[in-house]
Amino acid sequence: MRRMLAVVLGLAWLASAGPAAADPIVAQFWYSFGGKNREVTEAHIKKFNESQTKYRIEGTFQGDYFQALAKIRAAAITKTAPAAFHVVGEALPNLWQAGLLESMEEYAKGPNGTDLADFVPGLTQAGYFDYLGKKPAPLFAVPFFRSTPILYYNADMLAAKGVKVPTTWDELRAAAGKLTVREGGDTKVYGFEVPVDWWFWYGLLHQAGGTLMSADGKKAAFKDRGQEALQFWVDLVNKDKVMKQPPGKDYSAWEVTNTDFINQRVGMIFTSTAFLNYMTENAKFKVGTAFLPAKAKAAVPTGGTYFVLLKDAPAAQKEAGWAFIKWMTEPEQTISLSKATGYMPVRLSAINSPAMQSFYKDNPNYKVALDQLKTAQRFPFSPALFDIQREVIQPNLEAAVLGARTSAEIMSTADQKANEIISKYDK
Amino acid sequence: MASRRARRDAWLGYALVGPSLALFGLVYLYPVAYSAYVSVFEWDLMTPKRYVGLANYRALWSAEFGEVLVNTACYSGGVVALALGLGLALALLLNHRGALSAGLQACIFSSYIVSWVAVSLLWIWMLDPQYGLVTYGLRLVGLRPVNWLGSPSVALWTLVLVTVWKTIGYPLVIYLAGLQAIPGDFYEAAALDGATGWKRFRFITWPLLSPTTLFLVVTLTIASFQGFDIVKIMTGGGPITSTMIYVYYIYEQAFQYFRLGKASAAVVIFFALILLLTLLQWLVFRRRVQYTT
Amino acid sequence: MSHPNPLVRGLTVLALLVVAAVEVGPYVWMVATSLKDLPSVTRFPPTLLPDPPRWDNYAKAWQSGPFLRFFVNNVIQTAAILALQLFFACTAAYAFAKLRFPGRDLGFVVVMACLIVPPQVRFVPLYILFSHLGLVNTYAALVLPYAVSALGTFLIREAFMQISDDIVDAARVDGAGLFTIIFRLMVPIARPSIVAFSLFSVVYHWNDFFWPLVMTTTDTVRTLPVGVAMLREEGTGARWHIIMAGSMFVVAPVLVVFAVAQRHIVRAFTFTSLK
Repeated sequence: MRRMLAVVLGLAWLASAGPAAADPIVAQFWYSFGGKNREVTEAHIKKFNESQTKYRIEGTFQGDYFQALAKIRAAAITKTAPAAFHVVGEALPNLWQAGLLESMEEYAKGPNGTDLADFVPGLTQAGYFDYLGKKPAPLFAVPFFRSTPILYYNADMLAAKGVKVPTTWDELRAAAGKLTVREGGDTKVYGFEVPVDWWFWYGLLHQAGGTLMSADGKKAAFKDRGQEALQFWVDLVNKDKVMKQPPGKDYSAWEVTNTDFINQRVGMIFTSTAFLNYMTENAKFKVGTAFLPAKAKAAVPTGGTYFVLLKDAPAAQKEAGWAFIKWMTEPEQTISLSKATGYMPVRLSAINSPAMQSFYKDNPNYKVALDQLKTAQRFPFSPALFDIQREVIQPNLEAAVLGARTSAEIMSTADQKANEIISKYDK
Repeated sequence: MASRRARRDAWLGYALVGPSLALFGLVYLYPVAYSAYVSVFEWDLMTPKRYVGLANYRALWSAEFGEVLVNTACYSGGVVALALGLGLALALLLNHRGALSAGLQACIFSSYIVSWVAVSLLWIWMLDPQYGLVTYGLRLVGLRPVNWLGSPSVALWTLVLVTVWKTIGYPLVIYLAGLQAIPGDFYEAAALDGATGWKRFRFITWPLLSPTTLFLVVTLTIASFQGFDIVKIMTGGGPITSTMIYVYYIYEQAFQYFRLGKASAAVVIFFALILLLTLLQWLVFRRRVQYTT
Repeated sequence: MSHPNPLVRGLTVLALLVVAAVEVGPYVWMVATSLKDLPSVTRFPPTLLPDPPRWDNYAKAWQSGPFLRFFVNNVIQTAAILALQLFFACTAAYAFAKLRFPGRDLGFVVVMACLIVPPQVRFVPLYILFSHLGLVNTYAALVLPYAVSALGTFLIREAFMQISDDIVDAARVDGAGLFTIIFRLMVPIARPSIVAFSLFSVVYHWNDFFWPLVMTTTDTVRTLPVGVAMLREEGTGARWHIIMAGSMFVVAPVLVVFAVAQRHIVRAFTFTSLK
């Protein structure tokens, strides 16, 4: 017995006395979501770390999206930024122009590279941006959790009222009218609800045939069609009274919209495909999904976040960050991420794989966002984009719906402010 | 002898106050000085700062900022007045021993110690104009539902009410303690003189509570000026800008729009304003506080 | 409350019960939600009592992150801040209240000015400063910025000013040292203010989410409120049961402390009547 022990110990000592395994290169990945998405991401980070010994990624929560962005910038100033991070598309031009981000071209084509052609075109950086006639920026962002807005409808409610799924604005209006239930002076069920939010407005803008900026990016171009889009909401809420404007700013409004839908307080909503899992799991009715209705044309924005590397991080950490990003976007991972969250897989080979194809067959709702990509609209690659979203459009949309100002006034002011911002960056 | 004592006192004074002031300087005044510095630039925390002189201050000379000031004053004033008034009323009513009183105190205090996040979201649901509990209650008594958080004319006062709801436990506990510290002799003497009820309150209770009241006014005013969480979670400064109060405005400018220069200018302006206000408030209250000694 | 008229008494009690119900109602809802399962959470009209109660929500919340470490950090942070605040406030208050020295009043005004500087304003400059000092993501980053309290200094100074100079002089004549005078003589007399302020400080810092979030980059020194924030999913109404369970971890210790300390708080105030 004691001899056995000695042998075992001896072997163990020998094994540990072998050539020391190099310590893994440690890099940080900062993320800004909690709850389920966080769990899924952390699980994948763990899997990545276990799948190889060269790199170790530490993922940390950094608050909500804006807190995280502020911390990234503060950390960049003090040269303590993490290697990898994730960013919404609208913020990318800003960050790139400021020199904060690392180009990924070399990494993608290098020894630990990835097949760029395999990425779903509508979801990549190249597919997201309109470079306004200028030379395209190099690859610096790789899709992470990507989504489009879709129309969710309460299939049972629509069937009971004999309402067909709307495909145009007018049909949406009519359908919402039929679905709205009023009792006395109160509305028990609204036909339609959507957060009065930049993202959906952007979709409506393009559906009405407009664009945000001129083709060369030197002027704002959204005034008229943007007003048409906003006025559509104003009328639905105030004239027809078939749309509920969810109270609250930013994500609070999204939360109310989703909860109202689950509780059957509203028949149709627009929201991100990212909530599909949540809806399906919690609705006690059949959840239907469809394309967003069209007007002059069918159009949707895409959303979600991209992986980026931060230029100021040490080279070894960036290498680790890249390895992680590459791994996370490989077909196997993008499939598991997508299934767990409802965001779209970012690889064509993933979408075409037998696993996903049979999944889509059993869960056709998940395919809607993907199919809708063919009408995806690009965003102008301009540093003014983020400011226009956050300062000019987002906070001012609700004033029209609340009746404080007319949509014409708002768009006119917005147009002016947007041009100021654009010329500021143009200097 | 006296001057040696005076000099020793002076040295002692500096020695005791020095470390505190040094820390205050480092962690409070340095950020304000930093803000003053940044306020003459345009800066997004990322690209190099761009000198713009007083442009940020000029930009703040606007209806929007004026509204922020008014909102903040209304919010603070409302919270302090209501919390103090209700807190005192509750303390007077609960001021006796007994399980009921203790139980009620505990209930009322429980909302004070919970974090904002947990209760704010609950309140959002309860105040939903379509099917919130409060709306339901209003309908029961035949009143029309109010769009508590979605109406620009009402939202700020809704926040005041929710803040009072959450913080009332604190003035309650402090006033209760203050009430119980009033020596019984005073009341006995008053009873002998035939003074009861309202007279008792006005001439004995209220004056003797004035140190407590001063304490609470200062604490609550400061706390309400730093009100942030409730706005962030419940309204984001909206609807439109009707609940935009000081700290949230600065947060929005700095961390949502990344206009640090403008945010910093707002900080400087506020700092100057409040310095003035604090001095004023202090001068006014100093004369009206009475001590038992 | 001891009004002669039983009707008035009854109505008063009723009113108080309503107030108490309104105050504690949402809190009860929090507890109830923490024991529900997912479908019950978003259901409307809401059910009050979960059946059966899901205690595993607490396990899930606890296991979602290093909650034990968060708890310990929270205790360390709150206690360290309070201890430092009281120490600095009492010493400075003594000087402001009882000593004369040039610049005393100016110094006090400076302290008062600090009352208005909220954490959102202090974040960027202090983050940059602490980063240069290598202190980001350490206990120092959480505690130092709150080591001194303008409110505490103000309130304790007020209390000290009420103490007659004779008492202090008598102690000096008796040969009492400085710290004995401050901490053994004056602090007990000023106990009401100190206790009231401590209550305020503890509740504030225990629940503080913003500062521990922005001054840290990893979970090493983070506190419970940050841990609870990690449970939130923006946009969905999901998992409220887990979030409430997590929130209970933050609330319960303070409730316990308050329950234990309540008697002391009352006693602290009644002590003054013995003057």
